[in-house]
Amino acid sequence: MKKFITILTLGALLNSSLNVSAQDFDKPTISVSHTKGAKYRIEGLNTQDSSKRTTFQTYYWQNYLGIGVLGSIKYPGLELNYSKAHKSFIQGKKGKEKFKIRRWEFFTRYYYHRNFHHNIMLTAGKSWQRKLKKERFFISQADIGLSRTFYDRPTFRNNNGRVERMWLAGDFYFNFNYRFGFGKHFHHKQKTYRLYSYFGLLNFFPYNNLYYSRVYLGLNLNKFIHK
Amino acid sequence: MKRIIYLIFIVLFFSCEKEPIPLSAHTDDIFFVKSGVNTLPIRVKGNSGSKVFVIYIHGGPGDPGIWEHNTTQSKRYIQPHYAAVYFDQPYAGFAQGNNIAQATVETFTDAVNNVVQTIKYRYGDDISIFILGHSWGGFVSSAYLSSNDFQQDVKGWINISGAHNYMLGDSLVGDKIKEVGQRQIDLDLNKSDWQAMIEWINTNPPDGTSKRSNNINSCGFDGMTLMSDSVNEGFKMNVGKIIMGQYEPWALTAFITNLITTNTLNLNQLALDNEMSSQLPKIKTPVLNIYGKYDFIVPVGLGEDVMKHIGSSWKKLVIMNKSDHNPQLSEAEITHDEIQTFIETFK
Repeated sequence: MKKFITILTLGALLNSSLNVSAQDFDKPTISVSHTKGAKYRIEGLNTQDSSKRTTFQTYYWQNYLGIGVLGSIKYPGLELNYSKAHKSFIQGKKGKEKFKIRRWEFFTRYYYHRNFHHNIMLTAGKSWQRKLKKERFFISQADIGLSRTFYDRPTFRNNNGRVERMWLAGDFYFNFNYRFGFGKHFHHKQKTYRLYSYFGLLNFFPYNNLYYSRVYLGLNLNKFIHK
Repeated sequence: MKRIIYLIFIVLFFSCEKEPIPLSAHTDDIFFVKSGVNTLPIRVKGNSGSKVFVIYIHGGPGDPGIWEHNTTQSKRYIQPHYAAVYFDQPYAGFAQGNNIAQATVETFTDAVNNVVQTIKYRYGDDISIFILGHSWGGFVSSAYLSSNDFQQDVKGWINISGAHNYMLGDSLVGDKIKEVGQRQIDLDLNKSDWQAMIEWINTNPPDGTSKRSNNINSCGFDGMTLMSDSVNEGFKMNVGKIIMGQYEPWALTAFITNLITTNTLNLNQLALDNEMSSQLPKIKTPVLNIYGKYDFIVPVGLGEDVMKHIGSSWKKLVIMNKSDHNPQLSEAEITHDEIQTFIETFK
């Protein structure tokens, strides 16, 4: 009897802690939509609901802070981001389920291209994540925002015959980006982290009547936080 | 607090002051010049202590002039004696800028003027400036020198394979293909190739469109490669260096964007619509014309046209007997001897 009460208490505690982390997101009301032939989509999942179907980690319902490095072969950059969980769902046929997570993302990025410019970007977007085996995942991210370049060498202009130096010279651009990559969750001292690497394109518009596109690679470390 | 205010004041005062750039035998100075909606990268390399600055006006249009002209030959023959100034024209190479705009002849003449004024501002009013235009750069140079009073800032114009009149150039290419081609056919050299080219030229005369002009240009390239007694020396691009970013500055995707923009802006049409032969009499600056005998892209006839129309009292045409479009690379020593003599005379 004592054992039974202890299990119940632990279950309740676990339940409440899970609900606390999930309460700010979609309220977990399950809706199952079937199409004839067995394809289905289950939305509004929380830990309890999904536990029967697949391993469902609590951190999918948590926000995270991230830091990363990025670069284009030899031109380095940095990235900070904040990610807010949006929704998760299972999609597919029985035995071939895909567990998917959607998040809102907020990025601050910077890179330095020697003798070209410094570039600071502020963007927001969405990430599409799919759970793979052994805590691995595939991630695809798209975001839009603004960027401001700063020429990294002295810049001059001819103002009606009088040459003058321009300070903090550079340009504003509309910035739209896409990237995809693979990563893994890991745990350290009861905290959850994840690491993922990616490949993508940074795009700036308008750039000399067209747009400027930059291929980049990066590595991100994220720490999950409770709200 | 007072101290901090004084410190801020001193910093602001000195930051507004004109920066003195030390003149030296080994200058390597990279900076930007804002010209209209474009920001152009400039690189000054070599002996600025000579107080002679040779500004390269690159070809293309759309070439990355800032590294393209920083050749082994330029390093060997120009930089030890003078300061070479390499830059990218608007919408070319690594020029940057947030804009959607049209390009006019003034876009390019103003750009050259802004570069000239900035070089004078940075290195002193007592320096001597020479303009070295190559290919499309010949069009830009002639437009620049014949506009406003810009030529007053320049001691001399070195016109290497300059294309100041695209329409004339296209008909000269046709004439050259036909004339040389017939001789080659008579000598039984690459007979079928020459016959095909002559046939194409006969049925596709210049019509003032950039499409036809580009095709005639391609035909000229084909003819040039068939001439075994010319030295085909082009600008070298090292893929490894590009990937590792060893060209300074280098932004590969910006270069690709600018190449596409050059085509969409149809800058060749701009040159076709604005011949500079009629403007040449305005130019009084001494001019040294250097053309390659085997140049089928910008034939020697264009150099003769400069000689005929230019208003300069000192003018010279040198024909390089083993060169095609790039005599400064293929017959570097003789070409640079001519350039050096010219600069020493007029600096």
